[in-house]
Amino acid sequence: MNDRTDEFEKLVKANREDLYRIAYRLTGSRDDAEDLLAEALTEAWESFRNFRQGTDFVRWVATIMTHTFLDWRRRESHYELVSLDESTDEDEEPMELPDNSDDPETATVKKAFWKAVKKALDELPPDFRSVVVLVDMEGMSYEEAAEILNCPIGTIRSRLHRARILLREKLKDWL
Amino acid sequence: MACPQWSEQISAWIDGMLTEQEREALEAHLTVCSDCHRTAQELRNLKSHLLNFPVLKPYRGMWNRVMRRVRQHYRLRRPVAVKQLVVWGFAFAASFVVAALLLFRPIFQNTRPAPNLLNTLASYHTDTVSLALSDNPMCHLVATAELSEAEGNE
Repeated sequence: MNDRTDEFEKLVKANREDLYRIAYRLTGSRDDAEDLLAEALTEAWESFRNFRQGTDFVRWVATIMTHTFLDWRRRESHYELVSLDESTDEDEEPMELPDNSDDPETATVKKAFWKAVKKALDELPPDFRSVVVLVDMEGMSYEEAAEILNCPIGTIRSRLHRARILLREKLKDWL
Repeated sequence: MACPQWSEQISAWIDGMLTEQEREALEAHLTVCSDCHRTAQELRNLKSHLLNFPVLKPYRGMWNRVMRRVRQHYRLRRPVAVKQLVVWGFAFAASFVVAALLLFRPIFQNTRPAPNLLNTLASYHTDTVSLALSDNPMCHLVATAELSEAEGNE
């Protein structure tokens, strides 16, 4: 390995958790998160010569990852694969809840709630989902999301509002 | 259901994206409209839930698999700095020129035109050959070859 590959791998290693979290939130599946990471990081490596010291590496890869995700969703074939994949084991595996000290009943309710949230997110149009992931889940500002998605702030505001209204409709029994 | 004219404003209000004037107008409306007030509450709850959305741990060995796939591209497409590209470009061009000169050297030598500045004076005798480059004193050259022996041998 030369210096650049070494530098690239160090940055990936240092930011593994953040990168995986964004990939998982975008795709909603561990298998797809893995594919998305592999594809986005390959593209990131190919563009690594444009990466400047001091740039936020996670934000930089998140931009590539978000566009890769939107490209995937635009290609219907992959979308179908996701739907099939989704029914395999994701639903069977326990959700990793933030607080593990709940009694079994509360834990069951929480699990059902997060499952409903996940389903509602999966049903969002990809453009809406990406804005929700960046702003509501990753805590980015409208400006940052607009930069990543390469669109005006007004578009972010509008998509976010419509996405939230859709989610609210689907989760009205929980909110 | 929130009032249509306020609906998008509520979402922006939650994110603190309204101007002072817009914020005051909306907050005044929320005190008198129960539907919009409920919508604001629900959207606020939704936002806080989404922030805590749990993430499943990746499958075992995921990063090894991911990096293996990425590393396949290291050899195929190594990112080369522009500066390096320029250096290699010059090196290639220079070696090409040198190779071309070496390859076509005999042709260049054969087709070289006779020098105009030099006035060549050659005198040929039966037993000697004299070559005089007379106009340039620095380059005055007289070559003499003894041919008598050769002719004698003949």
